[in-house]
Amino acid sequence: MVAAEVVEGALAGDPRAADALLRSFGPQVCRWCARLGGPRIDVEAAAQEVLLVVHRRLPELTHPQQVAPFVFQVVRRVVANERRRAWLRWWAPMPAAPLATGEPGPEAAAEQAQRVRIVWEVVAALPADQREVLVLVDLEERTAPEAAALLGIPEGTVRSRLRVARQRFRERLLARGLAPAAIAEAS
Amino acid sequence: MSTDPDLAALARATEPGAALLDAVWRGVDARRAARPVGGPLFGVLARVTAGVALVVGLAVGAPGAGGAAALVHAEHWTELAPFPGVTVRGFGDGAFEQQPGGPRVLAWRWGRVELEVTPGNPSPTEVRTPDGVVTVVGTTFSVERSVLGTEVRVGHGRVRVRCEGEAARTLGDGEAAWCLPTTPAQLLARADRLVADGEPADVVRATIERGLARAAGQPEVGAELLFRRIEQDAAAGRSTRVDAASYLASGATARRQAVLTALARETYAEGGCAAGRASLEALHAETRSPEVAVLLATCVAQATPGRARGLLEEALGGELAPGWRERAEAWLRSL
Repeated sequence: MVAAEVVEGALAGDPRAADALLRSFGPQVCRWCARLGGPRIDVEAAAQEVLLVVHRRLPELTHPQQVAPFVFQVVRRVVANERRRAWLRWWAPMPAAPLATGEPGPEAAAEQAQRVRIVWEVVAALPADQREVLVLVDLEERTAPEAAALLGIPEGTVRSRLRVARQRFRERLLARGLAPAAIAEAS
Repeated sequence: MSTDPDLAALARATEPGAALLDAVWRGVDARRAARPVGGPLFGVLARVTAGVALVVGLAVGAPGAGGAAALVHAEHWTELAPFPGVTVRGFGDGAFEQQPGGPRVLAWRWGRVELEVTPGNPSPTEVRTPDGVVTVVGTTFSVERSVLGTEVRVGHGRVRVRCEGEAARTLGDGEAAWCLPTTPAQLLARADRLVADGEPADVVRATIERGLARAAGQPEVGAELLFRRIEQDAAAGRSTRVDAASYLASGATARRQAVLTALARETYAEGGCAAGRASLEALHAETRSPEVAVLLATCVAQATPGRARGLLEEALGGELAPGWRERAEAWLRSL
């Protein structure tokens, strides 16, 4: 949580407060870039870009309540651009393994890492509006009102998008050969 | 943390470590320190606070009675009174000029100017940029010329804005308008700046379309704009096939590999080896990418195992992305 005086100072043009505000958002910006951008995004480059844009445009904000939604909006746009670049750079889907290779089964840790990778790819492949609510509500465990404030949409829209996102997430996990863990229904 | 085990594991995997955060801050600090405060014509827009009054390299003379222009180059915020009843604050490159009996003209090529014009002067005051003309009667307003185009903001009074190639419109108190760049190269620069600023895709797309509509006779810029549209469409999941074919047919080379990549990805995703093989062959011939060689090998393994073996051996001799080497080796063993 960022101290109120830091936010107010930053919006009033205090460069030290702006720097402190920026640094307080650093870890969350990295999380959002990774979770919304998917496994092929360059998180470091995306997070740098987000923080630079936020720093440059901070003077446009007038109320402390605008800051977190603004940062999220910048993340959303930068991630969309980074996904486009990553998409062109890493276009090739890895080919399926040949049948009956006779290879021994991978270690449990490697299996778990592979499962996380697939889950990450499935989340990354969801449409942006569904990916955002799934990350904010189911992955980061924010409430629907919190997610609505960040996204700038009505709470009801968050819930309806979440229903669709969960359904697609389950379907796509199944399509990738993973049995999905149960996701709690929206409260 | 999420109650779903898969999402909880993903949350842990995407938690930034100290090394990542350090790298991010090093990059942010370096890029902030390197951010320019001035720039070349049509370069990066500089914003200078009014509190910084240092004037560097200012060269201005009074506009000559015979109509000669006085050139201005102000790298930092400054204040000038080029004509009676006209106060100009700002920075950038431009010129002041008044022909006998003509309007008082500020030809501003880059940077920002704020004007206060006292009403009642018989000669109209105009600010001209490469994107349009702003005519003043008596008012306070600003004109900012940057890579994005020309932005006009009215504080008080009224100004008439005529963007290049468009009808004039009048702006009143508190109103603002943009004159977009008019040349394909400037529109390309605007599109890139919009992308860098994270502006919405539809705004970027509109600029690209505007540039493409004016790019006849400028094949290099046209090809770059076409590539930007391919990028936009690819990101949005739209087909890039027609534009990719146009780009490849244009003979442009700068983005050829990326366009071949987009084409191969799209055709392979749509129909696997049957649809994507031709594009894969072209991409492989062009790039010799080891990952492409692996993928192509899987496409030709059944019909020509000998070629598949050669492709896989070629790929294994190169730098493969994580996970690919194991797959390539497995395929090689299966042949």
